[in-house]
Amino acid sequence: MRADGHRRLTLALLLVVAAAAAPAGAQTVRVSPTAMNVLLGSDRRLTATVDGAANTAVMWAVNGIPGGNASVGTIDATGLYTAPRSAVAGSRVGVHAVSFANPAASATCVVTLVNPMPSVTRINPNPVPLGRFTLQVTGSNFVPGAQLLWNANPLPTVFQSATLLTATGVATLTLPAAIAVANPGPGATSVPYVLSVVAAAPTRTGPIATATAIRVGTQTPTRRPESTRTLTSTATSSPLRTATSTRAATETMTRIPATATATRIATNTQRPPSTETPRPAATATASAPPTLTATATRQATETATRLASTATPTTVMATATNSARPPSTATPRPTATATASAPPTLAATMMPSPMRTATATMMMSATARTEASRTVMPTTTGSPARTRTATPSAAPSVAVHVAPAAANLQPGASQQFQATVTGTANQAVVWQVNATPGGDSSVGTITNAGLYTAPASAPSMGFVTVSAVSAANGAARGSAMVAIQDPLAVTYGRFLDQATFGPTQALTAHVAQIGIPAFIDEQFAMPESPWPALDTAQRSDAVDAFFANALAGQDQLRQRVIYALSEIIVEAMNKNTNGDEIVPWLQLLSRNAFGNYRTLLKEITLDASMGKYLDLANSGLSGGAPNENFPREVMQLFSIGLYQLNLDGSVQVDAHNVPIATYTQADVQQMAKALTGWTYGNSSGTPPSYGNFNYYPGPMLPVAAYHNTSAKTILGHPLPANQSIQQDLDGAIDIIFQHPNVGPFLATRLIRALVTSNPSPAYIARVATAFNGNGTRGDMQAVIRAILLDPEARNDAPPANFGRLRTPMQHTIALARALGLDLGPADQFAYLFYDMNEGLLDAASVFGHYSPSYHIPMTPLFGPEFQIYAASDAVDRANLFYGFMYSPWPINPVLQPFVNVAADPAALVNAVDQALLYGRMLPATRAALLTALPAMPDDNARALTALYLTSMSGEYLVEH
Amino acid sequence: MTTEYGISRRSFLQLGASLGMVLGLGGFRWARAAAAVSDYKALVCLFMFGGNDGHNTVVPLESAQYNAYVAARSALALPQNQLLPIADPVQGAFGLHYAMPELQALYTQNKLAVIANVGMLVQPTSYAQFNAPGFPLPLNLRSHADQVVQMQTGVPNASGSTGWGGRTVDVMEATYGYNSSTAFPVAISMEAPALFCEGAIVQNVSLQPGNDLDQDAMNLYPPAAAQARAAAQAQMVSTSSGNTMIDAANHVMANALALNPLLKSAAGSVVFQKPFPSTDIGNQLADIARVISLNAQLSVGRQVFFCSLGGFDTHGGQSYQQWDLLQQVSQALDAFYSATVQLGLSNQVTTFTLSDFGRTLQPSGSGTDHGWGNHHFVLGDAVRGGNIYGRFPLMTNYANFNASRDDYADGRGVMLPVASLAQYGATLGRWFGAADADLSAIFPTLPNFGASDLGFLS
Repeated sequence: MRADGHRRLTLALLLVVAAAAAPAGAQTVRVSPTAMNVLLGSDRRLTATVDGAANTAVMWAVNGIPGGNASVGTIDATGLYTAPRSAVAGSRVGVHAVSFANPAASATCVVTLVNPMPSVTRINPNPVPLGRFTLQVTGSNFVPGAQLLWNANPLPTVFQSATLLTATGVATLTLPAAIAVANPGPGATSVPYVLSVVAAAPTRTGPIATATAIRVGTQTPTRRPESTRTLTSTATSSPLRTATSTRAATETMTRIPATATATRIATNTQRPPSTETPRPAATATASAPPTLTATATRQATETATRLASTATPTTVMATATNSARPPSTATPRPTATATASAPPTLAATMMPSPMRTATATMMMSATARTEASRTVMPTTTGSPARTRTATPSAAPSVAVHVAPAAANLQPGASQQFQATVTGTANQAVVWQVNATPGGDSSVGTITNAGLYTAPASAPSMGFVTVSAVSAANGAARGSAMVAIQDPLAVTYGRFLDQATFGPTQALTAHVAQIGIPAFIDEQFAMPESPWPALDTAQRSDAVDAFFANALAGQDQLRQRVIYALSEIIVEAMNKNTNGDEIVPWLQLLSRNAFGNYRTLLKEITLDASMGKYLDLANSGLSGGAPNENFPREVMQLFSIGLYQLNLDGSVQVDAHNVPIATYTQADVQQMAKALTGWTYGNSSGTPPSYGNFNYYPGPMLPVAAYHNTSAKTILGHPLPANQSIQQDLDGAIDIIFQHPNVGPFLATRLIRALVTSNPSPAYIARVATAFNGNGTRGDMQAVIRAILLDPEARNDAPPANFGRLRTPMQHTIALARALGLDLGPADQFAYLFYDMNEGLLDAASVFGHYSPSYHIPMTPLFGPEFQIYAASDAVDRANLFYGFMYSPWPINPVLQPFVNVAADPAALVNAVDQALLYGRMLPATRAALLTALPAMPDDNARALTALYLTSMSGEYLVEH
Repeated sequence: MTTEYGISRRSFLQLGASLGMVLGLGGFRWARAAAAVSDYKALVCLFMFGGNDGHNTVVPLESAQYNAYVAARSALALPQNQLLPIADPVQGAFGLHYAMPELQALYTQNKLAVIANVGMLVQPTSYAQFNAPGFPLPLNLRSHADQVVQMQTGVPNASGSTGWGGRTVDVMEATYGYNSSTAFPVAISMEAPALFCEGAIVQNVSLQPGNDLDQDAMNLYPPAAAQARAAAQAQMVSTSSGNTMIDAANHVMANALALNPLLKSAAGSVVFQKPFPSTDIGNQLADIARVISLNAQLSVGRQVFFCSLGGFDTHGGQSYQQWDLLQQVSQALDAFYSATVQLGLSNQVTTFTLSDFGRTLQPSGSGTDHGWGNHHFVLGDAVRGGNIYGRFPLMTNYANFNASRDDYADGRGVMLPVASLAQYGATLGRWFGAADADLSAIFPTLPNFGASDLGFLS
């Protein structure tokens, strides 16, 4: 059963052989239902009916794999389909029934894999008190990624098991809440479960103690019995220096978000009177040489949430806390003191966390020493007292100082650094760049003597850290920050936005090294990225290859031109439903992207996949008028357009100011006659004497007997009677190709697809002139060079109307390339592109995903890509990007470099600016980000905020 | 003051004021404060993807016709006593599929009309012309991929990048100045983009039922952080960049930010007295009704909507499948009509059906195959209901097909349309406010037909 590859090949072979041998009057297969939802792991039965054959047996396959497999689901001989146990909810597979009698006859049921509908049977606590809560939700059919919905609002949810979820939130109203659980994917939300919310404050017993917990003022206190604990930590750093910190702290059992220090007073006034409890005290003493003293600072820190990563510790000074408490006659305020008789400072930090642990950190610093610390984490729940002793190891006395502490360099430039080691006679250091000894080509290199050389192009973050590590003590190090700004970052970034699917650091470095013209030449010579083999290609293979080549192909310029051409010469999977019906088109565009446009026009005319898509296959062979679909579109959409154009793309008008049409219905009919007599190929490649059934490898074949041999006149040019089918083909192609419209027509479309939606007429004329050529007409390399090297494209300070909106695919891929996101196979998320109006390889019509002449609403500006960027598209795009960025929760690991600098908002914004906007971020955007970042609960949230908002900003949406 | 829909005018104006602050772009607005539009109209298209079998949707009951129907349909024929009787004053007795008692009631109340045998045509077409070489016909008849496009573009003999719904609103905006006081979407498709709604000026905005354009990234704890993130975005998308393309891109996100609370408020603002069925099509029409309820607040003048239901490609197992789908359509349309009555807009909202094509009268196994002409429904108080418009094909002509050649395009009982989609759409467009010249531009083939108004709207 595991020989899927072999079986798949066998089926494909069968299909090919059968297609070649299929008799006329073919059988038909129908499958019922034609579409259905199937729960992951469950089964549904399909029925197939075969008409027109005595043998009504069918073979079953899933995504072309006979019998299916574990990843797409299996199907048995009776048509019982069993969905895979796990898959992306909402993804689709095709279940095919193939006639035994005629394997060319098949039918497909589109199966959407959905998660089971969860159910909720119990919620604990119920009722839930006002304020912050953690719910334990018991039920069934929970799957990883299940989301708890509180009155339809999602709460941070943790999947514990198929029957248990936990979720946290804040209840603010004493109204019943509808709780539902939504499994990922469509149609998998449970029936709501009603949860009561109450204001009751539980009774309190036990001793009252000082409250170091924090409450949000809007909430009714729900204190539970409190515990008292005493923490004593003693730190001994060396025989000469000891520090003892004693703290008697009391913690509440209930944790309310730690963000509201100012509201604590209100909370406490609502507490029952406290009379009996002495306040705890925290002291830290350290004995050391008497001339030295140190102060100890005690801090209480609590996190708001234990489980969600959004909660960040908030630090509260102990003294402030105590001053805010209600009067308590018996109790002295807790105090935190530390005396340290060590050089020169000793700080003791107490950090109780919501897990009821306390962290006591003893930090000692001295000019000649680096810090030493010990962390103790006592568990204190319910315990009256806990004692822990922290004993710092002997503090290293070695320190390293690097000068200069900061530097600004251009790529490739050098800077000498000096290291000074104190506390030891050994002055030797090991130099590192971003923690890599000696550095490397991407972060820059540094010699043993401290001579740093920046990388050839700016690193994606915009800076590196140079460190010197003491050879005597590896814990002792000094560092300097080096900002590396490429003055040409905008030049290369803009160019790569136009010529590729977006810059990467390596590609930018390469262009910086060899220059833009040489890069274009190099790309012209680059081998094509591979496409799926026709005999096995599934729809998903085609989508995956199209996306993966654009994302990671070395032939970036070719991929970008293929993408541009795919919106001019369109095929779509809603008609060409199978992989082998769409891949030939991609191969053709790839093969001809840098060739001659006449070759492209002729090959697309004869291409079997286009023969199906626009119905030229078997035109003239089946009676009736010659099919006009392709003959019309090859003129209107692929070559000359509707109206006579001037060289600069402007429309020619008659005396009444009416645009002059390029062709008439009669021209379409004449063209249709000239293109009669072509049928699908076959495995032998010999021209048949009758029409073939669908067969996609290779070009269509002529059936001379069915060619219309009358005289034709197309666009005023005659094709004499009795020409051969090949002569008429070449003649018709030449008539189109030689039309003066092709240059300005194609120039306008390609400039819009690559560079800017509103090129100047002069720019169009220059590119059209390149198309018309000096002897060689239609040279695509000359056209592409003219587009990309034009002064209008290369002007790094472009005018106000310059630029084009990135399409969903281009935007997604540019972001992935800039940030190093690994998106996985595109077919897993391709369905989301339908929501964004860019179903991959699946435009709604031959007009493509958007019209090249679409105007931005309420403006005179062209903006073709704006046709698929409405409000709903913007949010869909934003949510797709956010998913890529935060997953796996809490943040995609490739974004860690941004997290690492997020403590410094300016450094974070610079890094994002460098990575996405080449240092061009507008001051207003920068200001908005810098305003928002301090409100974020942690570094992950800061990094996500800066990256997410920038990725969806107009500055990044528009290549400009 | 709270309106009957639950949104107070004051709170809306406050919203508008805060949006104005947030968006800050020159000239941007959802609605000019109090410039309410008095003559709001909406066209709602319900598309039955796959090709609904009209032969079993509306069935002649007059005995000769019914007997011929039974003879042609054999096992697929619906029993006479199960059909829901409706009467046409001219063409006699008919029955609706038993899945549609709600539509039967609406027909009886003169709120619903049947438009018989509509289809894609380039020009009026007889059986002889259909078979004459070179006679202009729609491209790729009976092909799902092509016919769903043509039904929406309204262009049978060429491809198109805009839909007739979008073009109709284009005209209402460009020529008649409707919607000039709003930037709220005026061409809305449910669940997925629809060519029908795409105009040269107006943009198709697709909404998913229950999706209020919430950004996942704004679901952040603590609330202060979420507010800070949202505020930064609002500031970023409302600041002029000095580049018009960038500003235009930001403008779209600004639209989404402004639309988000409106959709949220719409979702909670209306309680419909007749609940919508919790089917896919019910959810879509419920969302449309909620958006329609906002029209006055948003100063929307003319709006088109597109919703759809798939699964009508009943090559096999039709009996159950079509019953299942038609009852969903009937129940959802009934709830939707009631909602428009409740909103006081039942005279201003007209709902109509489209489908890929009709199906063969002659069954194929337990189902039917792709056809051409088809019967459709039009619903609303503006509809001259209780009538069947257009010549209903005679089942007896099918029985005598070889002799008569009337009504059908082939021996399997594919209906040869007597009315074109262009006429059907133009009738709706004229009610919407478009003039003859506009309609000829919206439907390029319309001048080929004598009558541009089928008369089913007042």
